Amino acid sequence: MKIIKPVALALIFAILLALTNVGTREVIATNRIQHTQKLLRQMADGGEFIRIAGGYEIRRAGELQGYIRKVVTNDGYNGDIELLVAVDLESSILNVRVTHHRETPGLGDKIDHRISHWVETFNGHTYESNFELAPEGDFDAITGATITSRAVVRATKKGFER
Amino acid sequence: MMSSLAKEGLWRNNPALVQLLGLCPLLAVSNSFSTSLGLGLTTLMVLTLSNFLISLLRGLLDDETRLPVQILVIASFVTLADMLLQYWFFELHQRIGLFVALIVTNCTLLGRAEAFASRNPISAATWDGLMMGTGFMAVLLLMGTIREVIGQGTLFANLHLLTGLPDVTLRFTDTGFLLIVLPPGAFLTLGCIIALKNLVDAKSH
Repeated sequence: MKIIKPVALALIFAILLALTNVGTREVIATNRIQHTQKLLRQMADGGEFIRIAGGYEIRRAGELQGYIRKVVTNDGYNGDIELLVAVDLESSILNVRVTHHRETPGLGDKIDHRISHWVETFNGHTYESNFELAPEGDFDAITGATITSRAVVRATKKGFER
Repeated sequence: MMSSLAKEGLWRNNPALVQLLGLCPLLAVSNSFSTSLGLGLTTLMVLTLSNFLISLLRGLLDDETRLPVQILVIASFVTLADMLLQYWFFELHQRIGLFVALIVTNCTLLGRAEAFASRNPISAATWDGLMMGTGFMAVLLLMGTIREVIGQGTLFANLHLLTGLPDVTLRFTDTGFLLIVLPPGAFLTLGCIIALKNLVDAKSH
């Protein structure tokens, strides 16, 4: 029975992966939350952020300044892109940050604020802006990363929905 | 044996220039020095360790089952590396995690597993992985340097995000020759490097 050895190896690897996943997932989740909180502090710009259903409230000295909403899209090039969209009380965008993505390094990863400041093009836009890529829309794509840019532009619009 | 394996990996049988393996990540990610370094280092690591593992398991396998098991080993190994990196070095994973996922698309891994590691003792297989990985990384870094300088007019941009060291970006011009950064530029650059290598080989014969 030639099949026994490969099946046994597959089982061993499956068990190894499952055990590693169980052993690491809580720490990984905590690590991710800490990373997100760092971005939230940047976005709230000195204000506090308070968790509410579907996102966060931004408050300064107790007074409501706006909301941060979490949006996930799978229209990118590779896997989910998770964004945080901060909107003020007049429904104009304060800022946008990508918290998690697996887009191509060197091209699509320019949606990450540490790599390039492209996401700042959203600042100040309102619900009335046309959330499509130029020429028909109001946003320029990242060179070489049209699919990624379109996914982020469309997802950002979802940040207005309550 | 050791020095001939080194020569094979670095020059005579270079995975990127002669075997033309791993072109998918090589062409996609060589548009700047820092991305090249990220992919180069992670590939070097995974290639060395996968060669080691394949060689270790070689006695267990026969002709019909060897290939699927090699794929199993490489895929599991990359997944494992991804999880452990997020567990221990989350900040580092934020920087190089994207490259880890790309490594599975690199045929050099399966190529070396099949052509070398599955037929050779552990020490030779590990050394082969190290040398092939270094050869691959050298070509990546060369392409990254050429494409970044011509295409963006900079060198070492965003390198500090990868290494965690201070920003050392060199800026030559404000706008570069964009074509070189885009996919056609990858083919043009690689073509020129291969031509140059063949020229050197022809001259030395």
